[in-house]
Amino acid sequence: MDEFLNQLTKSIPALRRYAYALVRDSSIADDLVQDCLERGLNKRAQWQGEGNLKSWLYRILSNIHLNHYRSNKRNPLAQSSEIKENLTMSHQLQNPADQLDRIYLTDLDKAIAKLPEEQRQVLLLINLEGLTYKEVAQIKQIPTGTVMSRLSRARETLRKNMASSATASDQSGSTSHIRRIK
Amino acid sequence: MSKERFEGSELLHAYVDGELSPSENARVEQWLDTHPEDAKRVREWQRQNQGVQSLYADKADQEVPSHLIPGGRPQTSTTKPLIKSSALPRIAAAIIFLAIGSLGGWFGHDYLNLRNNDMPLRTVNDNALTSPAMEAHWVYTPEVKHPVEVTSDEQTHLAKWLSYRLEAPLTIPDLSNNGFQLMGGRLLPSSTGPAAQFMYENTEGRRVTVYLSRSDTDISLSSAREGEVAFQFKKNGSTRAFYWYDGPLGYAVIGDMEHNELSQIADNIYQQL
Repeated sequence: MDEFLNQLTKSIPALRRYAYALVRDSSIADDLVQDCLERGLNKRAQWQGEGNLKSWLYRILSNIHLNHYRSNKRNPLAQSSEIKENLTMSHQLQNPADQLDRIYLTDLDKAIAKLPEEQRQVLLLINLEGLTYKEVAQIKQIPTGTVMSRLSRARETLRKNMASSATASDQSGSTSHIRRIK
Repeated sequence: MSKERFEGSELLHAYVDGELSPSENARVEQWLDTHPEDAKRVREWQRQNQGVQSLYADKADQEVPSHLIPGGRPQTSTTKPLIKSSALPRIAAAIIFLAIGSLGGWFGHDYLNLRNNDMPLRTVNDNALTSPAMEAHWVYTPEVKHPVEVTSDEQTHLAKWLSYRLEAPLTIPDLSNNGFQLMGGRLLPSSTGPAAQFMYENTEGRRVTVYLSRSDTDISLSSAREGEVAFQFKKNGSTRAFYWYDGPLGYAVIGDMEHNELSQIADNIYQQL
């Protein structure tokens, strides 16, 4: 396997994670990743080995997402089914702090889904993919200041939309360490 | 660095995201000590970050489906080169569905007339279960490449997923006693919301499907009142179905086989559910 394919293959798990968080449906996410990889392979000549291949793939995936996979085309009933399933199935109802976590996470998932696509992409590239502001600016081909304003708006929207569970979590966040020692 | 890179609240975001130098970090921490409102915002953003990780991060740890790997073998569940790989079979299925739906409607017509006198309401609802169950059986059992949406390799996921979508805990029946192995299952649309189909195959390649959908409220209430579950039978050509209602769900077992054999399978399933 040549270096390009090698690096491309290594990027797939991260691309799947990003895609999944964008569309919140495993099979749609994998379609998105597949489109991204195909486009990457086809445009291989355009990637001159400069810069990070993974960043380049993030850019392709983000563009395909904006152009073809906007979540408002999807059936709202289908949204977040897997998350909810994971949360309800894999976590038994243990202690109150965990229940608060579950409520918080369910709300957060919904609130993220409601963010405008551009804000969601920036938020996820930074929070989930762990990229720097500068890397995201290059991927999205926007100034760093725009990255920051989108991130800031996304976070404030999340905070407002989650006011109820956020207050509850604020309490548990500061006291749960103490309470859990038993 | 002479020029400030971040200003105002930008500094707080940059702090949360680890974009600051150690000295800038220290300055922000000092600031937060004396500004509880900002400290609260920062804590909330940090919690959002953790939440995003908890929600989505483990997706990267999952095994990559082989059809996504360049040069990897294409898997049964997805065709290789098409951009809209998953849409085409669905569209094809929808067209076949329409065609068979009208056929099934015609068959159902006779059936309705037959039963109409004694239990009109019940008959209509029964039809709502068995017709789509048979249609789904006819559409998907001949499939060679895509008989199921999720294969038996992911049985646990399949059960969880379909339980969630049908809003009822589903057990995937084990039919190995009858010589049939689970191939997998799929989610289907129905008039009462999401429905599920499980498909089984024996060593001769014969296939049986189990179809579940939410029953109409009337039915589930009346059967709950009666406190009993009765198997019912329906035949269409060489295709036979046993079906019954239990709790919130209607069940149908469909196969192209003799009455006796299918009845044993239905019994076996009922024992397990």
